[in-house]
Amino acid sequence: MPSLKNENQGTQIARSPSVQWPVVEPNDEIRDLYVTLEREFPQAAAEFSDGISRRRWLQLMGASLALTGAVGCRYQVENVAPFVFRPKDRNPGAYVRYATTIDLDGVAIPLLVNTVDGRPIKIDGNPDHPDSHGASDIFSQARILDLYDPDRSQKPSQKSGSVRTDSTWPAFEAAFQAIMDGAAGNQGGSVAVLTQPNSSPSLHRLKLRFLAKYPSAKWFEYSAIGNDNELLGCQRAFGKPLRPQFAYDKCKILVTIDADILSLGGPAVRANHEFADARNPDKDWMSRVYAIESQFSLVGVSADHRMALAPAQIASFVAALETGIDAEANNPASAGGEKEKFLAAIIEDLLANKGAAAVVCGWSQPPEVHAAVWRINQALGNLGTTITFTETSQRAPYASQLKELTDAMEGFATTLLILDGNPVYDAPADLKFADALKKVKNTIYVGLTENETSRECIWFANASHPLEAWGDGRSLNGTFCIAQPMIAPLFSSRSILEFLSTAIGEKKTGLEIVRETAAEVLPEENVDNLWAESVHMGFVADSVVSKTDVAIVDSQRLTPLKDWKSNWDGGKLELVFAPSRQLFDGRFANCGWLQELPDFITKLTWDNAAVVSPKTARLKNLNQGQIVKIELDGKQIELPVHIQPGHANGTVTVALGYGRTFVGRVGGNVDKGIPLVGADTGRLRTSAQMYSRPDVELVETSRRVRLALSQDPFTLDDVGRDGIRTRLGGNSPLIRGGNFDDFKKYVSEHGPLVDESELKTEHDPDWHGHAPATDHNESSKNGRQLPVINASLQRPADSPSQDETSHVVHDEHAGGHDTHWPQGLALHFENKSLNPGSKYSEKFKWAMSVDLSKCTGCNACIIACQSENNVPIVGKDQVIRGREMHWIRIDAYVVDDPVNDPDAENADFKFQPVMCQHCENAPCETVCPVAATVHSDEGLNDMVYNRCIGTRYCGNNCPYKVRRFNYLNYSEAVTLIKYPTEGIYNEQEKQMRGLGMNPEVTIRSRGVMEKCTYCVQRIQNTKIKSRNEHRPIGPNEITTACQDACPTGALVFGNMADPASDVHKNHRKVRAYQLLDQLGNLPRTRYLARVRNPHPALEKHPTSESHT
Amino acid sequence: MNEFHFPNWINKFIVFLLIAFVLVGGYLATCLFAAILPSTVNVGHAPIQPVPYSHKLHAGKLKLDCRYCHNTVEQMASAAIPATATCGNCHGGNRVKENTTLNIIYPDSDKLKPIRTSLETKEPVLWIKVHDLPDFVYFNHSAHVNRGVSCVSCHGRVDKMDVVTQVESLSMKWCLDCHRNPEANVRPVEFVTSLDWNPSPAELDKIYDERIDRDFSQLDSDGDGNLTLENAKSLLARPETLDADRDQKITKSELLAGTTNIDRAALGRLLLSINGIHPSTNCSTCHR
Repeated sequence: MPSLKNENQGTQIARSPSVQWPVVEPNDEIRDLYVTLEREFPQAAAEFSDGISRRRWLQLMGASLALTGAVGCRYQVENVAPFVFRPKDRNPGAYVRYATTIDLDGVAIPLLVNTVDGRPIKIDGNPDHPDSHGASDIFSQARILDLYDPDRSQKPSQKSGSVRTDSTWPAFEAAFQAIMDGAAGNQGGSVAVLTQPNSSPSLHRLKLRFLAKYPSAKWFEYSAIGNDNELLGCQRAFGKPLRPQFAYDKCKILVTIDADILSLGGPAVRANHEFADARNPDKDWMSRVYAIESQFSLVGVSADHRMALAPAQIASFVAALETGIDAEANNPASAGGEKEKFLAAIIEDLLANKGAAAVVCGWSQPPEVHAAVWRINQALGNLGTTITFTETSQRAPYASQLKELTDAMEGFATTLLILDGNPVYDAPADLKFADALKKVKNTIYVGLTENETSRECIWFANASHPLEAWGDGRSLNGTFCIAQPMIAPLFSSRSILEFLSTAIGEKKTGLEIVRETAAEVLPEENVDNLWAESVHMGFVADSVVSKTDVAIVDSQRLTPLKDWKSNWDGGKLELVFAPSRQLFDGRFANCGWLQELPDFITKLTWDNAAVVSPKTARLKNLNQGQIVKIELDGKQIELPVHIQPGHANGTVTVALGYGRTFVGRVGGNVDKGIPLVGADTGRLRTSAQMYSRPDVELVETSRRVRLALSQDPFTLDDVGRDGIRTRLGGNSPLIRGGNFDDFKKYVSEHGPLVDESELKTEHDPDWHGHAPATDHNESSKNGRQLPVINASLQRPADSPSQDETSHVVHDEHAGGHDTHWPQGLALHFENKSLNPGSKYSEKFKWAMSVDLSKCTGCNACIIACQSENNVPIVGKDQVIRGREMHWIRIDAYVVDDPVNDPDAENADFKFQPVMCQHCENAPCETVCPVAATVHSDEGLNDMVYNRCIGTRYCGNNCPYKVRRFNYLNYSEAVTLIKYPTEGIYNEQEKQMRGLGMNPEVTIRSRGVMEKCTYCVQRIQNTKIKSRNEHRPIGPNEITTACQDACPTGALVFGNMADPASDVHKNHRKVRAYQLLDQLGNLPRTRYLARVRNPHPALEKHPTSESHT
Repeated sequence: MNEFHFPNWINKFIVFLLIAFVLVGGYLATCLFAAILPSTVNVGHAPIQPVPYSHKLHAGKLKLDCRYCHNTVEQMASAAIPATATCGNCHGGNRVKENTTLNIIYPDSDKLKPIRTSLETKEPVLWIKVHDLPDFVYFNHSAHVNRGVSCVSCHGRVDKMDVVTQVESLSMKWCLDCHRNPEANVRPVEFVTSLDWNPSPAELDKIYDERIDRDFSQLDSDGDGNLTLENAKSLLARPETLDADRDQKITKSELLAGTTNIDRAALGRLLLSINGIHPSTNCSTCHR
């Protein structure tokens, strides 16, 4: 069902009829598309993907019929196994939530875990913690799948020669003790320990104890994508290592320098929350964001202005910015070229908002640039207001620590203990870590699963999952967070803390260790109560690390090599390494949810690609999907090309974290013949050049592959575009919006809300429309105006009037497309309903609102929905066939200007989350031959799986393309990845995966249609609960899973009939509109228009041909 | 010419064979259809449990309340099969609680051996589910019990069963019949676990009047002290006796006077009105 997804030309269609992706030649991809379009059904729609024959099918059917007969007519006998002693308040089937925390690369993320019958099934953020506000990120949520991964290592093992034999924890600990005793006799001189960055105070404490016991042991930390540069930058600028804390909600001007603050892990959750807070057009002011970056990031999409620069040019840009700030050269109107104007606008804004702005520099930029950015912030008075600092411990950069370690391994170290992490896979290539590892006599790996590193080690011991063990950590703001186990270890295992405690001869339990550490933070009197309270809350109250004052000590100016104003001339390329936004550094490679999660911008799943800009592709003669070779230092990798508008010219960006060789049935395993996912780009990194390498050439090959994109970039041809223009009148963009000043002016004249009666629909008895409900047919005949905005403001779309109710504004994103602020929201369509009209409950009207001004596109909602609603993963092959199952998708709309910018260098993106809109006149319902999708009187578009026979008419008739069909039995995971022996999960492993399923949601089988239900299980359970407690449902009591996960508050669910509910308030905002409202579906989901705050001097002006 | 031909005399049997084919086929199809009806398949299901627990003895003779064992029925979707310790409270010797005189009933009975074993080994007793709904149906006990639907409506007179037997089909039609016309199955919440509740007309009258007296304000949505004719109509025993031309308001005393000789259904209607119960027939009520 890819066809409508790319009506993303929404805002662009009113302009010239040029092609959306102009630089891409009509190639095989396009030809494939036409073949697809002309077929009635997608290729192999009804065929088994693994080529089952008719004969085999008959055999299977015969066998299953015979089985049916043997089993008889009753379904199988089910046993009930009650507790022997049921704990107090432990009710079967009840959801219980516990606070905990999971560390991701040195930042603890405060979480709340939903458990049912003792099984954790869903992870959310901890609403009481200021670093979370109840929201969470994709990585924390995906830990559920991690926990029940059948590929998890289940017991320790020992390698002798090339044979690995299973062992046990007692045997391992005895062997380890023997090794350490030998080391102690040696005064520990030969012991080295390597860990991943971890904020755990307990780990730190045990580390000190360990080093005290073995005085000359060495302790190292390594992460492939750490914040080295930030730390060194602070060191350079302020003379001490610091952790900056940004208050994005106080930033009126935000400039990001190659900094993707909104994705990736712990800091991102709070950043998203605060960022969106400053981007709320309903408040008095709205921030203005400039993004200077090479690869499109989430900030780049949300930004008001963006400039694509190669990483090597960024130093020069920062230098120019610093000079400009010092010189107060701030007149954008008089500046020469576009780029100069851009810089002058930033300078003007920053100078005008001293103390209320921030310039943020990304981790991939060198320390000098960081130091320069701190100086700029100092000059602007931002330090101490929008940016504060907390002290952090001194450490060497990870790459140099690892260098020191490999030297030690080559030399004196006879024992190496690795606690989690995967340096064999992700260490810089020049360190030759794997070779050094072979020279160490005793190598011990303790971690969650076996990986490339552990299999080179003599001992492997399986550590407990973070959800199975006590632990602690410090969140971004330094709060002491406590992790409590949600479930007893599924396999015999110890946590790393427990293991270390044994190693130093204490043998304490995880609880004892963490409590001892917490005792250092908690006041002595009343410690038991405070401990209990802290565990309950998930963190120790008031344990925030205090802020520290800073002063600039460095004044040495940047001496950049490459001018930021220079244009790439088609020479050699700069290779940029970026952390995968799905797999992080590769540690989540066996997580199917994350593998199948589309990248924000490229929409690529199950793969990494060489991402280049259209101009780079044109000059280098590259095609979409073409395999290219990158050869450096005698190492060669092959990657498919992905052409990305808006990417910096002259750079090729590759994601790290792919191409792992020893993971599992999802992520690949060379030993077992399971194909790898993507290519290992980390092999091209060196310890000196961790984030980019200059002067790289791509070697073309003649091979091409089809990338597993969840949103195909080529599916709209000229005919389709013309059709849209005719039907939508060119003025009903899917994403509506305007700029902040015009919006405020409009609101000051007309008020921020529309009349309450506008929320009524024709199905309501007291609808404000032309006829009372009893005369319903009459009212349909007359047509009506959609209740999106005051009726007095509405006028036909094709007669632009200059009366004072409308203001011509220029949508800067539309690249010259001219739109009218209220008009975009106030189209007049005649509505003829085929539906006789349902009876609607007056009490409950479930509805949802999606604020496009706030949504940053962080993907957290997709994983949350997948976790809550048992949405299966389908595998790469099925994604290529367009069969992904996500109930919520985030459409990325590209906006470019083919006339003035044929290479789409200034292309812009807009995000729009789309899930089932729950139309009151749902087109899917009228075509279902078996009434498997019907309307409830509360406005839900119910999907009855057990009735569905799989005609797929509903999916065909849905204008939003949100229905998903189970072509195969995805939930059984049998068809997920097909390999001769290893791909299929056995019964036991299936049961293990089943533990993570939400018991409140039916698991769908093959041949069944499914879609977003507004989390109907939560609605029903809350309704029953409130009735049992004899109280009404609170106005915002019911939340959906996507809403819970959303860090920006863009998604709001509730009862539209309750004036106190947020969704009612949102639906009444003048920004509210319905998607494809001209169809008259009356969707219950409404969008809030995307308001942006561009700099007046940088606004693009309408071209003459627009808005005819 | 070696080809085989049916002899001609066979022709006169063809019609007969066709008719026989249709009849036999129809008969078999009917049998199959009848055989897979929930009322055939489900009713009478009485599996043998690991412990021959008699509801007839405990709930019937000894008058244990249902909720002594099924104690989550008022809060949770599931009514909870009791923990072994619940059995052990009376039969467990001193395995559950020491120094109590309550736990010595048949402490050595052979039939109770699984209970004692379970208490000692901490392994659960594997009971067999009797009333087993399909996995795509989400039934919630608390939603029903708190609205006055008695256990007996679905489970029958369990207090008369030695072996628990399914008495209702639990089919979707059966569920919907009650969701559409719930009056007969709604009773005052305090009688929900009284499986033998069978009030005389006089008792019904009394309960009815008490409820009107107590909860009149619940019925009177606009708070003006009397009911609209529309609201009152479903509650009155014989609404047709009302004078058609009368005032459109019914006062409390009129309502009390107009309701004599009422039956269970009338009481059910009153309770539905008072508690604002509108059983939903939306698909998503039971299927998610």
